[in-house]
Amino acid sequence: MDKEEALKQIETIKNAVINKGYVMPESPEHYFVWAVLSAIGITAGDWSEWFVARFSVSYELVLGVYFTIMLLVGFGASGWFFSKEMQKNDHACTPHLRALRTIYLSSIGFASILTVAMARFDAIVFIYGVWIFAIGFSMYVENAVSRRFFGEQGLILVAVSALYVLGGSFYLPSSPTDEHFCALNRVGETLSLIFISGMFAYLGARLLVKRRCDV
Amino acid sequence: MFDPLLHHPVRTKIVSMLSVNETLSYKLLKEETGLTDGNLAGYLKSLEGAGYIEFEKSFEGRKPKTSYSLSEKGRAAFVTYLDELKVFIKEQE
Repeated sequence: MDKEEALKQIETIKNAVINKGYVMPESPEHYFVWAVLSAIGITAGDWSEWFVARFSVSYELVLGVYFTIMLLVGFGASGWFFSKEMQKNDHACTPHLRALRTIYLSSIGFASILTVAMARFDAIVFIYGVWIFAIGFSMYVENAVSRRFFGEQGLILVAVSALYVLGGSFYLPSSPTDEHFCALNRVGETLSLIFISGMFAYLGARLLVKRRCDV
Repeated sequence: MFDPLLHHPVRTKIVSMLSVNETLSYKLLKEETGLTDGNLAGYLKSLEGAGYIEFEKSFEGRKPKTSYSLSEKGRAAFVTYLDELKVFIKEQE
């Protein structure tokens, strides 16, 4: 054997390992489900009052129930769509996919718990930064593992969350009023709708278009 | 010097893919290697005969499905082969 042949073998191994190491299912429907669920969660401050008044329950309880439903429906739907994709392409559930699922479940689960825990405090306005960070960081990890098509968008979300929290802390005076909190809440809600729900909807639409072009 | 079983581009590719995936289906292996059923079956049989890969047959409804995975022996042989290749290339420099 000569050196050329050996290098060719190394190249074959590299291509097989690097390009095919992380088989990940893709599903535009999963993104659309999360776009809707996140939009409902982000605007909870607007619709929850009806439930609080109608059923005479606390705001925290309404949030707790909603986020429980969101986690069950969201991860249930994602699991179902992904398993369909994997069956269609004869892929197996890899350790990387399981680890990613754990990362998303942990970050979204923790953000949900934090939201409910902070619901009665004014500092709840900063929860939008937590959510944007949680989603953004999870996306960054997913892209690093699977080399998906959303590139560095996860890092953009992390930067947005940092700017929101820093900006908010500078904006609020030492004795903030309700107006200050309302204004910051509106900014947080808008940023979350754009960078979480909007991002999910965009990724789903992009994947849908990509699939239609590949057909 | 080199493991004759692994020192073949197609078998190298199959074993490399299995080294980074828990299991791979026959269908996926066929797609990735671009081989005919007869050719792929031959390569898989030789790897399986040496104890480098294992397979599991199952059914999805009525559809039969065969999944392959790398055995411990196969993984050790692959690592050894990779090390030998690197040593060889270094010696040639």
